[in-house]
Amino acid sequence: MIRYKPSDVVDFVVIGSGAAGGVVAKELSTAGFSVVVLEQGPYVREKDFTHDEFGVVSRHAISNDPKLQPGTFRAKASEPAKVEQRYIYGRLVGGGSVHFTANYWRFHPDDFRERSIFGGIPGSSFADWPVSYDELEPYYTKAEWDLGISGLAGANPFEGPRSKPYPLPPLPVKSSGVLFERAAKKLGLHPFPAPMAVLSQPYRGRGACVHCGWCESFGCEMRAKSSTLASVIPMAEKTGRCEIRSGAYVRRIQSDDAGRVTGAVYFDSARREVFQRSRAVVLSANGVESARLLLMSASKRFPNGLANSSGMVGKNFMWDLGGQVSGLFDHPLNEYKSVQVSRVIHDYYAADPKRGFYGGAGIDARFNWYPITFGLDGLPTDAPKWGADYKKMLGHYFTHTFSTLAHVTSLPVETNMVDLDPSVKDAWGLPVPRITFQLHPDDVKNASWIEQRQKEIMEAAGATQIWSCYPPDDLGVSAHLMGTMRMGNDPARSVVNRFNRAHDVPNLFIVDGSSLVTSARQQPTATIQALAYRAAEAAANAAKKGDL
Amino acid sequence: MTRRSRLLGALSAATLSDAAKAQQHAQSAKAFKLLRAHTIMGFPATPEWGGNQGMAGWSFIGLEHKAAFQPPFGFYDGEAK
Repeated sequence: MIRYKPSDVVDFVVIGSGAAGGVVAKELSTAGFSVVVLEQGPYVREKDFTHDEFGVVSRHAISNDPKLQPGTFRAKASEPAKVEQRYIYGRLVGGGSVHFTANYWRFHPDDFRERSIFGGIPGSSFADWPVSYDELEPYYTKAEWDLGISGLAGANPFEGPRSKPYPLPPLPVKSSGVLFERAAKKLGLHPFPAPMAVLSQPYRGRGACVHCGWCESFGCEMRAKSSTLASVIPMAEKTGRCEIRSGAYVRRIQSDDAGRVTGAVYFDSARREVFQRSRAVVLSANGVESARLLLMSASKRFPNGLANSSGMVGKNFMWDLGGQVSGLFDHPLNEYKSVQVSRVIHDYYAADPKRGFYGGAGIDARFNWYPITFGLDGLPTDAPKWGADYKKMLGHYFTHTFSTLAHVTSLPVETNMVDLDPSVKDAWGLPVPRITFQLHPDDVKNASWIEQRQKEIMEAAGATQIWSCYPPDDLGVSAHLMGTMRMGNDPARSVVNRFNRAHDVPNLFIVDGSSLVTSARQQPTATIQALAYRAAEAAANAAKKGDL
Repeated sequence: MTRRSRLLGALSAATLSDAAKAQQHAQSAKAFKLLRAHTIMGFPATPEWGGNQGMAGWSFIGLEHKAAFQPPFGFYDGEAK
């Protein structure tokens, strides 16, 4: 791998190497540009991934550690914020694409124009996107083929038109998928094989999934999960123009008096400050960290934070909202084997004004429990919490349970936001992100409506016992960090333009979950990556024309 | 340990004011929650952490510890084939 000196003025610095940053790095380096990717986490090789639930899930081996990097949370601006872990991201080369469940849904055509279809919603900044599904379609296809996605084209009747099928057939159906599919069909619904960023067959030098089961939250030692670490980052490195610099924790994006960015200042692993110079910067640190970094990069020219003349940086944060309904079955399902999800429905995806509120959901059949998490929270809420009866239930339920997870809408609300906590600092002395978040009333109504649909499915599947684990009582920890640097045509109401270029700063692109205008029905990775391919193309074209 | 916490509860009932009892109850509930979490974590965590001797925790819950599996994984996907 090439090594640049900090004093070298490279074409692009990319901050973050996750779902978006990895794609941008590959696209820009293969287009001939010199690229330095600054990743705060370590460069973990596949051979070092483990099946150690305590280390990975409980002790944050590959995600942000709240002891080093705490965050604060409050429901309303009038309340004091408390130190609480409310968001999670992958903190290693490959970012969240390493540990994600690998659900890979395209957003529907209507997601991009839902404000026009549904109308305005009081208390929400609900808006149409400045891009359409048709404009994004070639980039969805590019992502699916570049990264390696398994699925069955045409099986989801609610999906928009596609120019190409998936490169790989679906993964094998699990017992949860069989039961879910039977039940859904009985109810007149349209179940389809889950599109997954996991290889069902060998692809471009990578091996197929071996169904070990340690998928969500873990890194894949087989390189079968199509993370950017396994797929596009090696392509970027192979160009000889892209350096992946791990252990580089960016604290500031530098800008000059002309209002252009000039590079990024980071702490290296010895906590020394280093300034890497560049002609342009791509910020792909995730919806929380990217907002925080812009706010930490205030200057004389940008007193309210970089790229924040609109005041919209950090606003419209949307939550990774979902609710689980579980069921017990007579025979063993052994859901701990293979990937988490094998069947999905989008029948309740579209919002329907007749319900009296805005919202919708995609529902999947899954088992995203591991032995420890199941022991802690997997049993029915009224089950004994300890003692002989608890133990007996644990022994039976672990292999006889599956869950449906509804991925539900989270409306954009301007007062739901990320800003800098005025007092709490991280282990490097930097201000931590403060999240202010409260569900919109329609989110609450929608979630309870969807919970009933999940119960119907579990009943039709023949569950002998049904129980739910549902917000809004506990919002939990958000993993889909969406909406803080909204994309739009109006520079007064949005942070980036329709190509993810900052309205205020011509040589700054912001490419991650932050640009999403609406939450769709969660599962944002495919859309984040399609936007990343499109933004990288726009950046490359602008650079070639000297317009950057 | 659960017998011990019950015993603590009985002692507090005999000697403490209501406010102190409520506080002690909350503290012992918090302590119990932590103790429960750590006990459960130790039971099926990978044996390298010191629990789950001979993979007893995994065997108990029915998890077969293998690096790879082939379908069918369970009864219903086997039946559907």
